[in-house]
Amino acid sequence: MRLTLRIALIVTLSTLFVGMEPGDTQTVSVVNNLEFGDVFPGVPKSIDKAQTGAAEFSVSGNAGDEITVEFILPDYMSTTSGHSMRLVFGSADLAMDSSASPNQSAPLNDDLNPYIVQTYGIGANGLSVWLGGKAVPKLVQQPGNYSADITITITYTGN
Amino acid sequence: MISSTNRQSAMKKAALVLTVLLLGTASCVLAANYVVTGQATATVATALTVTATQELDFPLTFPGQPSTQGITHDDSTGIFTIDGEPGAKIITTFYLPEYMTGPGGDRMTITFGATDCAIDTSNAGTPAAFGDGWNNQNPQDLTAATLGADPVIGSEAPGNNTRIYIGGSIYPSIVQAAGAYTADIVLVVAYAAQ
Repeated sequence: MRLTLRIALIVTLSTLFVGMEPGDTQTVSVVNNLEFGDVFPGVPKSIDKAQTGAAEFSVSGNAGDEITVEFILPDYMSTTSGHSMRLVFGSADLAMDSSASPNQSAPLNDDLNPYIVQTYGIGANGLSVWLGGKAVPKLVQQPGNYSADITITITYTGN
Repeated sequence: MISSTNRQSAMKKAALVLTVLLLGTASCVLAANYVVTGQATATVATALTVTATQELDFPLTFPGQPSTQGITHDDSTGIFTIDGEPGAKIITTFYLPEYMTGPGGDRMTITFGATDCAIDTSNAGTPAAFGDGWNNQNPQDLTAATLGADPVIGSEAPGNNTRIYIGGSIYPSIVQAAGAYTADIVLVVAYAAQ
């Protein structure tokens, strides 16, 4: 009985460690925020995912791990005093690259819809994710600093 | 010698440990979920304001005698003042009348020539002493293509504004009704793409 229990315990611990391995080394971090800079009332301003100012996220993990990438995107940016400005994300504002040398200008997987959950494999150097967007100020937009949260969730699928 | 009761108790403890470990394993695998929050940021510049600082005022005119008001008269050239973000590019468009209306609805023709406008981005300029910017322009065509660039909000302290001067000509007929004549001159200003 004791022998049986020990074997069961070893198998369980092995399962535990094997099961944790992919997640244990996986991280996601913000490299750049989506920065529109100066915006003028009545003049929409777009930041392309391939240009400076685009949001960039970096995912690290074991090469070959399959993950899903999901965003929670804001509809508005706002000031601390409560003024809001429309923020729009288009159906091709997302790009990802898991190659050894991620290229923001010519990513492996371009023109993706950030509102759709993307399934992707992590490369040897992880995965780079870029996001663009458009700020749409009103003609009478209140001057000031506006901001909003962009949340990215990386989920390990186990595949 | 282990009693049957003690053995059962040990087995229950072992089963409990196993259950905990299995649940832990499951939670480790299922909880491989990573969330990070970035930011979208922007700074909105000062809103534009346009003020009709001075009316375009023609001197006393006689029937049949055309009269021209230039853009160099401090007291009678039309002046619009534009405030906004210093240095920012703007788009300016005039909607100009073709006649002025007087007593009893009588009309008098008004025209604007190809050099009847100036865009002064200096702080110290006046119609009589033009500062910097675009002088002698066509008020009907203040596009960047014509000006060579988008006009800008002046960035010379303390004014930090741009003033637009406008002149014109009127053509009273020989039977023009006597009295005061007026018309609206509309200036629309918006920020251009920077």
